[in-house]
Amino acid sequence: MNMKKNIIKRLVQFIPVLIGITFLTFSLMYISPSNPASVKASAGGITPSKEVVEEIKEEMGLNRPFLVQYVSWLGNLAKGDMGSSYITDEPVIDKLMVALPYTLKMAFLSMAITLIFSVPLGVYMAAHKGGIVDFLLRIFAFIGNALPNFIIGIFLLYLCSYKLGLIPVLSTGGWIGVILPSLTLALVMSTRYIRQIRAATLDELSKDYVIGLRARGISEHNILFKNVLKNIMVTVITLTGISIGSLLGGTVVVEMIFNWPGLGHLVMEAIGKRDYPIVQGFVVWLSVAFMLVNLLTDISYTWFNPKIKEI
Amino acid sequence: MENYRDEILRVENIVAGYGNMPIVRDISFNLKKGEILGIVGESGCGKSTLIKAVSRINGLNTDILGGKIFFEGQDLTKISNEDKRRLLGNDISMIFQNPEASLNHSRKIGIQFTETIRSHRDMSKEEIRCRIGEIFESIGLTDVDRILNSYPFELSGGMAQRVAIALAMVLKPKLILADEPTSALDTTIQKQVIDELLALREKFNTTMVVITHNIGVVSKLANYTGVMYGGRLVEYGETEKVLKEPIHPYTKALLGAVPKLGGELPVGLAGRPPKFHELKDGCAFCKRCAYAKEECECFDNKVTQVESNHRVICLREA
Repeated sequence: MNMKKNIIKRLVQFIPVLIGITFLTFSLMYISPSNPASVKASAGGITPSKEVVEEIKEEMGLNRPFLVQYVSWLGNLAKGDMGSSYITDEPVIDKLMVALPYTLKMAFLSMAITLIFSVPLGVYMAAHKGGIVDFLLRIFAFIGNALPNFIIGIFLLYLCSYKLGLIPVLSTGGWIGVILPSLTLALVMSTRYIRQIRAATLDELSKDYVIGLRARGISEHNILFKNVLKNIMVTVITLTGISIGSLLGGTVVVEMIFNWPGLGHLVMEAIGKRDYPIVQGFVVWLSVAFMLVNLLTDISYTWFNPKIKEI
Repeated sequence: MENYRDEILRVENIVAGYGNMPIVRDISFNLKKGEILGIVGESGCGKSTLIKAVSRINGLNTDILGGKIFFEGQDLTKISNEDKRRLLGNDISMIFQNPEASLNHSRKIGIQFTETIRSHRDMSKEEIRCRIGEIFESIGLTDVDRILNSYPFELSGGMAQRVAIALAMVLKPKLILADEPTSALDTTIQKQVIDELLALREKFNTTMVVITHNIGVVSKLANYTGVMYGGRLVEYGETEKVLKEPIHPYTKALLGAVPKLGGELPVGLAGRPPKFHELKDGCAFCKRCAYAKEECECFDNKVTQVESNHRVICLREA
C-alpha cells in the first residue's frame, strides 16, 4: 500500500531530475565551439558558403535564444519526439531503437554470466578462505581488476576468433556475435564482484548469528545457502544495480572493438560528428534507465532485508 | 556405576585459550543429570573462555590445549565435526551473552525454529508447532503465532532474549551452557530468566553450566559454585558451602563486595585481575590478597580437597 505510494512518488521525482540533466547537457552543447549548422551543411562533403550555413541555421531554429531552444526541445520530448539527426535526418528515437536491442542483449548476457560465476565463487572462496581455490582466484581477480577491458577484449578476440576460429572476428549482430563482447565485460565485472562477494560473505560469516547457527547444529551448507546467502544479496543487488545502469548506456570501448552496433557505438559516432540531437536523446535514455534501475534496486532490498520496509 | 550413568558432563584438567596462549588452566568438574554449576568471577577471569572451550563450537576461536571433556562418556575434544554438529542444538545447547544476536535477523523466527528442529529430528509440521508451543509456554511466552511470524528485531529485547532461550531449549537438550544469560537484561527480566531456567530443570532435568558475575544468580540457581580467578577454578564446592563458608580469600572478597539491603555500600577489592600475558608462576591472586605471604609467589597452584565436595587452590590450605 505504502509501497505503491512511494513508487509513484519516486517516479514523479524523475521529472525534475530529468529536466536538470537535459538542461545541463543542452547548455554544454550550446557553448561547445562547433556549429551544428555547418556540420549539417558540410554533411554532403563540400565546404558550404556562409549564406548557406546561415540559412540552415535559421531553418534549424538555432538563431533563437538558448532558453527558447531548450524549452521547445523539452516540449517535443514530452510528446515523444526527440528531434532528428543532423546528419541523416532520421528521427533520433528510431536510431536509438535500432541500437537499443543490441545493448540490452549484451547488458543482460554479460550481467547473467557475471552473476552465475561470481556469486558461487565468491561464497566458495569465503567458505574455504586460505585454500588453493581462494588463492588462485584472488590472483585472477587481482590481475583482472588491473587490466583494462579493451586488453581483455582484444585478447579474447585473438584467442577465440583468430587462433581457434570459433567465432567470426566481425560481428554479425546475432547471438554468436554477442558472446565475445559479453564475455569481455563479464570477465572484468566478475573480478570486482568476486572480491566484493567474498568480502561480504566473510563479513557475514564473522557475525554472531553464524556462531548461533553452529550452536544449534545447523550444517555448514545450510548456514551458507539458507542464511548467509540471503544476507549478502543486498551487496549483490547494489553491485548489480550500478553495473546494469552503466551497461544500459552501452559500453563504448567494447562495442568499438567488437563492432557491436549498440548504443555506445551510436553515441560515439554521434559525438564525433557533432550530431547533438542523438547525444541529447542518449542522455535522456541513460538518465531514465539509471533512475529506473535505482528504483528497482531499492525495491528489491525490501525482499532481502526485512528491516528495510520502505524505499 | 549407577552414579556414572547419570553423569552428563565431566571436564578433566582442561587447559584452553586462544592460539597457543592458555587462558584457563587445570579446570576439572563433573555434573550429573539435573545439576547446575554456577561459575563466578570478575570480568577477565576466563569464565567465558572456559564455556566457549567446553562448547567446542567452531568459529569461537578457543583452542583446547590440554585435558579432556566428556559428554555422556564421549570425548568432545576428539569428536568429528559432523558428530559435533549432531550434538550441538540437540543434546548440548548454548545460551549466549547476548542471545538475541544468535538469531538471524533477516529470517522469521518460525523458520529458524523449524530449521533447528529439522537439522536434528524428522518431525512433521504439526509436531514442530506443538513442540514450539510447549516450550514457549514453559518459559512464559504467549502469542506463539505472532512471535513465530515476526522477525527478531520486531520483538522487544526481553522477548527476543526469551525466544533465543526457547530456541536453545526446543529439542530439550541434556546440557545447557549459558554465558551470562542475564547480564544484558534489566532486573525484572533477569528474575524471569532465572525462574525459567529453574523451571526447565524441574521439567526436563537439564544439566547446566551458568557463567555469571552475579552472586545472587548463583545462590538462587546453582547446586555447585565455582569461583574463577586468573584462569583457575580457585574454589569449587556445593553452593551452600562456598557462599556460607568461603575459604579462598578471593571468594571472601567477592562475597564481601556484594551490597546488602539496608547496609552500607561495600568497598570493592582494590586492583584488577591480572592480564593473562602477565601471569607468572605462583598464586595469581597474591598481589591483591590480604593474607599473601612471600611463598605465595612460588605456589604451585595445587588443589586442596577441603571436604569431599569442596576444594580450593590456596597455599594457606595446602
